[in-house]
Amino acid sequence: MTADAGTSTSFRLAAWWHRPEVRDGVLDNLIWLILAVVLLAFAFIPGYFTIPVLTNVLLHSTFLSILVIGETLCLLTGNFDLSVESILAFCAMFAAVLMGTRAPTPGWGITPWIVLPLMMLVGTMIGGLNGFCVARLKINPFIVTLATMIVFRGLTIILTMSQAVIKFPLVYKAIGSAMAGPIPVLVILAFGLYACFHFLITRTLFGRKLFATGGNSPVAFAFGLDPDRVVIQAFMLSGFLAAVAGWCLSSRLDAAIPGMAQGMTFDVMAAAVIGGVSLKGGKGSLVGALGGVLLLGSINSALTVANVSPYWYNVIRGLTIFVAVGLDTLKQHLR
Amino acid sequence: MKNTALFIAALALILAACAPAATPAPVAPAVTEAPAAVEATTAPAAAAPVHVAFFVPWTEDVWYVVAIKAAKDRAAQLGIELDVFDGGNKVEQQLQQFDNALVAKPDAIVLSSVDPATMVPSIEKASAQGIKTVVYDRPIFATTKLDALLVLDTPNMGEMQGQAIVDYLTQKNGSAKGKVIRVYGDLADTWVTGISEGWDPFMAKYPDIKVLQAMSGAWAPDQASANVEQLLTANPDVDAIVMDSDWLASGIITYLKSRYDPVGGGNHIFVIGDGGMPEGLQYIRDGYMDMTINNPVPDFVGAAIEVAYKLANGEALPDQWVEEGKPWSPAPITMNAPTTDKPYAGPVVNMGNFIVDKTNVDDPTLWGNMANQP
Repeated sequence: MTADAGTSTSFRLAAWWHRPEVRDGVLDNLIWLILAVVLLAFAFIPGYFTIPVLTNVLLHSTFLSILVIGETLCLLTGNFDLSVESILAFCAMFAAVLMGTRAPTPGWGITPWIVLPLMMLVGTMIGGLNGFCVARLKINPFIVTLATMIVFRGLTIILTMSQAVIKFPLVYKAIGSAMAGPIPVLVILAFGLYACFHFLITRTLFGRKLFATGGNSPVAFAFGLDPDRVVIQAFMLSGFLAAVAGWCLSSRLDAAIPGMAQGMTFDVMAAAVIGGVSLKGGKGSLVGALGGVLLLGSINSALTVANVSPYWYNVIRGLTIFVAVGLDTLKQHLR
Repeated sequence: MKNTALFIAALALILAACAPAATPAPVAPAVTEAPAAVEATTAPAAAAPVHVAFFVPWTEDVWYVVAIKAAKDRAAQLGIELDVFDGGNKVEQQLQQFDNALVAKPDAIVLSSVDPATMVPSIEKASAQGIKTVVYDRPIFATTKLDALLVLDTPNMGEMQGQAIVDYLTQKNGSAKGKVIRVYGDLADTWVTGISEGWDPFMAKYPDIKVLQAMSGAWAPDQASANVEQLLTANPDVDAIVMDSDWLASGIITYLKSRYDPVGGGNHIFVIGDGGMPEGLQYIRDGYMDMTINNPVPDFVGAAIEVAYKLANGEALPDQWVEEGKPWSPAPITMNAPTTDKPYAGPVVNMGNFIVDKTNVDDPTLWGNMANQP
């Protein structure tokens, strides 16, 4: 290739890149490109690139993905919710205590048909408490949700004095192992929730209010919106979704464990940020957040299947997240 | 002038609020039914009772909830005044609690630490004040100022698990060969490192047994379950699963129930846990978990309290710890051979563990069966 031909190719590439539909299309879906590259790289791990393993990636990403929906709603309003993991655990243990028929529960044996709606209500109310403290009392969301994270983790432990509750009624736990053909029902549920909430934030007035509140709250107020109300609603939805995730996870485990989901908040925030949701509010999408979830799930599974030394597990995982976030930041500069 | 006076007054208020309390500050989640982190069991005797400060690393693990109950029971028997501290799995919290406990000048301290290495200066401070310190569960060898050490022999647990695996594979495959998943707990936990000290060299003798590794992060059962599922999907020829604790069992057993046979079935995966937790015992009864290595928690912690009591009263420890009728009895008490990096040269009470399977799972003296008793 001559120097002239090389220069010509560079010009053509640059011109192609500067076309808005190409540049924006690539940058807006950068996370999916990264995921594709990562999966291709992992294809060389023996036993990884198979339908059952990839199905497991989707399945085990379900619980995190549901939490990320709620977190994204809060992030869009310019806030964040650190308490999602504790709401998940508390709602699961709350349901277990009500349904349980033997120690360490009181043995009430209440039917899941009553327990499940109660569980969702409890999660929503905890979210509402967070939202009220942030929006009306003007307390920093970091402080509020950190406090509720600690309080409700403590209450989860107190409910059964640190003991796990195992073996739930079939009605409650069926969703954990049910299959629709080759696809776990949990995966269908998660994708269904993503579709619903994606529609909600992109096609409805509520979604526009979310972006407006996070983008510029005073201006949103000046235009007649009630930003406080929007924030409370976002937190309530986050709490509700955490309860849904609690149901899904505890049904999958057929157990409610005091330490369940501990540490998941970091993964929730990481997935959302990797997926392009801005910590400052007003920017982001559930599509990107879902990409972030699947990236984290793929990495975790690859490290396991590759039998990577457990002592390097966290280092490799952290570095990969760092690179992904760095690439996303680069995206902002390229625009 | 006015601003200066206000500033000084505010400073005085802040300093007063930060002053060390006469009793330890409640910082941890409530322990059993008490609202504060500090509890006292009043002594029935007319003479001044022995005052013991009892530390657990956290109470999210029911193992330590049972430990607290056992400590209180033995304290009540001996007429000990007991203060209980829950470290909340935070090093700095436990360090602060330890310092606060020293202010109350107990006769003895019984300690299971969040992080053994960080407690050495605190132990030496206690020794300088004439306070006896007994460490149980998470061993500390890095100081000569410790008065006694009680261990559950975690390396032996790793060896016992390894031997159970070898026996099973030999029976199944005709020789010690096959594929095993080891489910790790928190890698920073001395429980895990202790098990590895026994497991790793034992399994190194059997190169035909391939060991796959499933992580659980910081003892997260959901992570453990997801990783085991993934390994079983990628490796359909796995013969057995070894868990660092029954705490990790729930999701794993649920998955096994959906795909594999119970004990005795043709498509069974051998599962051995550790700890003897209530859910572990239930899974053994259900027939999907083969066995667990039981820790004699109530006897172990009770012995730690009693050792502290004896030392506080100036009594010498016997050559072995005996409780008639107990499977671990007698537990040998040996003087530790010090090394450069492990200079502790005092007594070590080594209480053995034993296997629980379908034949003895309903033994009422197992702590997992006692956990739900008031």
